Amino acid sequence: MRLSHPLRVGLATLAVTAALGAASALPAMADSGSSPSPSPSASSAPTSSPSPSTSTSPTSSPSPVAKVGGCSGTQAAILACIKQRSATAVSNRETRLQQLTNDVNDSADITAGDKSTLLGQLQSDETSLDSLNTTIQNDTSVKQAWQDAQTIVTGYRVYLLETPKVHLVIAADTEATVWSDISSVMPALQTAINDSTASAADKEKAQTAFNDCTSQLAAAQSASSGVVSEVIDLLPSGYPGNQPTLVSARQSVVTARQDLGTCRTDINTIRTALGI
Amino acid sequence: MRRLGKLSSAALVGTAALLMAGCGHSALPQGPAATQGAGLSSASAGTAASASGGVSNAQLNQIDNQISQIDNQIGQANQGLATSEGDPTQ
Repeated sequence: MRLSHPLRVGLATLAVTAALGAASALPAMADSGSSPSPSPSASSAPTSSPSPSTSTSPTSSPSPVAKVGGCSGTQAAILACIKQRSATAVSNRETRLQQLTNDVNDSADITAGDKSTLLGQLQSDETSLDSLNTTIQNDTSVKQAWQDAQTIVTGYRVYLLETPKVHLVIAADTEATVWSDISSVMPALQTAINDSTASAADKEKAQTAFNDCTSQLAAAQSASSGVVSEVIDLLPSGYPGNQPTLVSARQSVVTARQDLGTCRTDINTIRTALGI
Repeated sequence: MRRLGKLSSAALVGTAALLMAGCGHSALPQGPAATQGAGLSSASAGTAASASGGVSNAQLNQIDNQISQIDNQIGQANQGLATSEGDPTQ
């Protein structure tokens, strides 16, 4: 069917007008929260950068929609949302703290003093987080609830500080045990080299490996001996300023691990060279 | 009776383990862990726990296990250091 010219122009004008109207409505739909809000589970794991700003979305809808952090809607809805997400965030951190407690308890090599210190810190965190959650659940204003919710992160740093700290302490103490265990067998290895009936070349090979192992042990001890004292008393209040200390301690632990591994390989070389 | 049978079996196993240990054989389980990580040859692992140059395979296995634990702890510390932690309401 062919339309007359004036009619075609009229229809085209209508279509353009409708398109412009729809386009202008899109931003308002997005701001009004028609897109799905972040799920509570978003706070279960460490998330990306925080967005602590509190804003009221510009919108042309009749009832302006407030947005606080990841929560939006009426004041009552925001308060309920903050409380619900805070409860989840606390629960997830308590789960992590319990895992860390188990790791400390399961370690056969952590020193008694370090174990006691870490368990005390972890228990204190759990208790305080419980108390904080109670406070948040009893908050009556969005502002107070949101401020209290932020301290779930800033007051404890469970993921960023406590987690690496605990593992670095266990690792450093385990390295001390390995250092001690290997050191204790070194005299016997030297005696085995001295008394060996292997060829001179093999004995020299064994002695070279022994000397290297001795050097590696010294390097390992030098690298990891200060790790525990550097990190065990780091506090959440010092974060992120104390984060480089964690990174440096991690590097020391890695260096010591490599040294101990090299020494362990040296022992194999000695045994193989001597045929024992 | 069944309980007694189990006890007798356990006693026999224990006695055998003690006899083997006395003969210079290891009562400790030997397996892949004995050669893991540090490159012990399967031949030397097979000679097992007799003290060799004052160092037993059991001692070396323990050291290898501890080194594995260090690796595990470093891995978990790395995860913590690699994460970020934002607004809990997000």
